[in-house]
Amino acid sequence: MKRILILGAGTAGTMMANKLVRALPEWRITVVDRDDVHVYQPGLLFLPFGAYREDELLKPRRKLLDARVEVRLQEIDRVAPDEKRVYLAGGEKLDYEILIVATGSRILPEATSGLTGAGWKESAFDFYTLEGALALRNRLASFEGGRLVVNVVDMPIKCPVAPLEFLFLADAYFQKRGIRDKVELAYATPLDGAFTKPRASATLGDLLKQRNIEVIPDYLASDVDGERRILKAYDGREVNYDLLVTVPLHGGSETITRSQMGDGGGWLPTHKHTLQSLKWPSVFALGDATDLPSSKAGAVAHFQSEVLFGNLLRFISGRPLEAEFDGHTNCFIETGHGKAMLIDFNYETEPLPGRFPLPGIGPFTLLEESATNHWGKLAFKWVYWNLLVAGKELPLDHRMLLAGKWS
Amino acid sequence: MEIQERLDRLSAQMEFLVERQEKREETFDELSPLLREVMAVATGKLDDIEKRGWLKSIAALGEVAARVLDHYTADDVRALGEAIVSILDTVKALTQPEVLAIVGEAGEGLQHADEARPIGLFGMARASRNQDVKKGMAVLMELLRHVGRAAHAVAEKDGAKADRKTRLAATLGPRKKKALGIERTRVPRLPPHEPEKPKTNGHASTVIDGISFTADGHLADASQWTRALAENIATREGVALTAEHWRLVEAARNDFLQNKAAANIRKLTQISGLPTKEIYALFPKAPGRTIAKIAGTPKPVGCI
Repeated sequence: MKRILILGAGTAGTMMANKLVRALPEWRITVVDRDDVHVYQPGLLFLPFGAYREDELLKPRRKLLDARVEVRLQEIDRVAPDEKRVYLAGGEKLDYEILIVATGSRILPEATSGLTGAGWKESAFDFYTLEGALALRNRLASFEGGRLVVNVVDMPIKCPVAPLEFLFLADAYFQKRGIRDKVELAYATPLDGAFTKPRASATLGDLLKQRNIEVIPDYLASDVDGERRILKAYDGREVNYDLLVTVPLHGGSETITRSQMGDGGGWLPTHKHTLQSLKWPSVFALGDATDLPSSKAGAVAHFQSEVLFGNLLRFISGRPLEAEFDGHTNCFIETGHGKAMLIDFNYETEPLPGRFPLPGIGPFTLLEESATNHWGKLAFKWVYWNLLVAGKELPLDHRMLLAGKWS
Repeated sequence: MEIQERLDRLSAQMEFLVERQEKREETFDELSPLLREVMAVATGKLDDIEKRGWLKSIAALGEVAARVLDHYTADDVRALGEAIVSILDTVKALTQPEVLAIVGEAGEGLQHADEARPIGLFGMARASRNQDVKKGMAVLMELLRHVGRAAHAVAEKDGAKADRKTRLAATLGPRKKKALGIERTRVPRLPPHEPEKPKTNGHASTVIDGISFTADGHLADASQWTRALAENIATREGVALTAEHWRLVEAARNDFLQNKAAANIRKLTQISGLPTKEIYALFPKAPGRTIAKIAGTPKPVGCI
């Protein structure tokens, strides 16, 4: 039996495995991951503010995978793409016909000098890991005032709007606790504004200003002095903090680097539109693991999975691949106080105002705050567990449509 | 024994539930491609509708409804609902071609009302000899007769309700006056129709020495780049280019030509072999963007 081997059972790997196992009964679909805990990553943002309990965000990977999918819970030693073989840490060798790299991304706080030294998990936290988000929850609960700085070390990061959402939610959280006037909120970002794309940047920048959140642009953090609680930048600027919420440098999986398949950041060089590896025709990539200039987010993995699914079927039957992936991304941006914004964009088109998905009706509002968007974001957890990772078809086009957008 | 029975019943129940759950899953699987088709069609249709401005018209209708609500209470509207048939009958009667012709002609007369000279009793007697006026008087008399008959009928029928009617009239009076425009009132105005803004996508350009630059100061057409132009841009950015600077600029330029994307700082460290600190020593302010400007590439996007 020929094998499609999927590395990683996160959002991307799980939904791909479930889609493929239903469509290709004559193929063996095998998934490898190091553990059996699937984290609902969008929920990590809410965890520090006590909006979710941790057990709501965790499910066993096996339960989310179709029973027909073969699962190996093991570390991967290395991939040998020229031999079409993957060596597992336990010594097992898995031969494959097609390899799908869905190894995701990870945070590298130790890459910023001093960040994980003095004060780590005391006055400096991340919220991109379960442990980080939980530690931050405890610290926030006892925070009685001072200067809270959110810093993005460098792009790319998972869910590029998450740092902004964190600030909006923090603003609402401190207001609710009645100590907003005792808290200074600041955002130090390597970008030249709130966001990369001009119109969204302007809109989000306005929202930050309205909420009295200081933006420190072009700030490329070089190191952290945890004892004196100072964040330093390469250009010599210094930012002091009482509580630092860092979005550390991101990198691809160690497996990819170890197998010498990645670029300098550990990302797999991937064709921007077909999702095939630029070097090995039988290797494809999905989700955060790619080096594509699209967002590293679950929605992207979903849109990519539809393109990849079609391309794999073409690949198997020897037909040419179709270059369909357009960089489509959409995400809800929590803005606090029961409201959220929605943005929908791709490689070429920046986020525009309008209605989504039905033109003129919505129910979601693009680039504009509304309560419906917030409900959408909360409902998404159910959609994620029951439809998205299950690989069910969602009634959304994987291409970004200009319908319903006002230019 | 009893427990066993209960367990049996429970397991039967469970089986039923599981089966139903599976059915539901199947239904969803069957329905989802259909749903997607429906969404695609709906998206297209609605886009068309929105482009034709229908949705804006509906929104405007909503405003009209809001205005009606400002002037009438729910009771008014209910009363209006009850009377709708007779209102429509009246409208129908009034819009018959013959009636419209008469009203139209009468309107004509009213348009020239300012030309009419005042007349006294004798004038009236003289005018009544005119055939048209005679016919008009006959019509008016007929009309008066109808009005009188209707008034009688109403008076007889509503004799008992008279009390309530006067009360209603008293409360509705000023509101109706407002609605009819006799009494001026502040009416919520429709938002002005905003002209569509041109799509910029951040590429609004400025032209310096015949060369176009994007709004954020990057060369609009990367192929126009020359070393002399790079020197000019560097001067504008406050950087005096040394051989060390040039090494970076050239590395950024070559990488852009190869990869069709502008390198950010981290990429620059990889392709030039210089650590971030040294890049900052050469280009102290926002080096990523400054180098991109000098190398004639677009702004490096932080991968988004």
